[in-house]
Amino acid sequence: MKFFFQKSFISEVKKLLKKNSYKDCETAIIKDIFKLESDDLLAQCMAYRLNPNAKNPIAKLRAGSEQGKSSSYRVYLIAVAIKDNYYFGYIYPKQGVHGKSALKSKEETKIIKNLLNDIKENNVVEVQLNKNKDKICFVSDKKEIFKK
Amino acid sequence: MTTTLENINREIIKSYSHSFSEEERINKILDHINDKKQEYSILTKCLNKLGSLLTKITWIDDISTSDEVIISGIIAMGKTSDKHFKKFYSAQRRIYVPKGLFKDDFKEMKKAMDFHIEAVLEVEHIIFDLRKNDDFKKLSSLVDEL
Repeated sequence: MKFFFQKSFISEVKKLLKKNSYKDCETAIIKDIFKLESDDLLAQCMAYRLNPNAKNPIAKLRAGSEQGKSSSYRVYLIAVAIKDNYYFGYIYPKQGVHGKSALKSKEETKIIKNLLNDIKENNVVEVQLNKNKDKICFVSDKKEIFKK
Repeated sequence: MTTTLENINREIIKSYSHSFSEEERINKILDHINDKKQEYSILTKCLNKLGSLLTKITWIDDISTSDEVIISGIIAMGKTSDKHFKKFYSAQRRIYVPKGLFKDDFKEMKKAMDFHIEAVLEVEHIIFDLRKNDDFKKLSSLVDEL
């Protein structure tokens, strides 16, 4: 199982991490998605399939803060699964300053179109968890993507 | 007032009775708190389960027109129920939050309520809006070519 981020996805996460209310965003992504380490990841995490009868599902995944934590927020991520590769293209929170209630079909289609173009042109970066499994880093140089 | 054994005895009985009724009252309050906690926990669990079940609808293949009718019914049920959940949540909060009770239970219930209604609206959007969009349909076939 391999994970890839679109460059704009990395920028979006960085933007969220700058705000105190989303500071646990990376942790939530790790806990609710990366750490699942399942062969059938999309079946294990909280995910909606956008495209019907699909060989390669386009999914909207949900990640959120832990139970009992003072901050309570959810982020939604749009990803495409091709074989064992998961490509992440967009992230948005439901609440807070960057919160969005829902994406319109037109917006979603545009996001997915961009992601597919970047996948085709190999304009995505492979990422993985570090040894401690608490940070996401680049596969190429093992550097942490989201530094504090 | 003369202190006689009779008087003391009377006072002792009164105090014991009072302490027993006080203990009984406290027990009743504690029972009520436990009942409420359980009630909120059951509702929160149900809402989370509903949210998970709703997401599963989007993974069903070959959704027919008659399936869409069923899904419409589920969505309508979800929206109506959400109104009831919100009313219940507000009413309960109004009673207990000023007394400093069930703060964490209400927080978890609110999260579950949000998850539930988000799932209802997301399913509606995916099945009846996004999947009917021509541009998205084209895109879906492109994804499978990758």
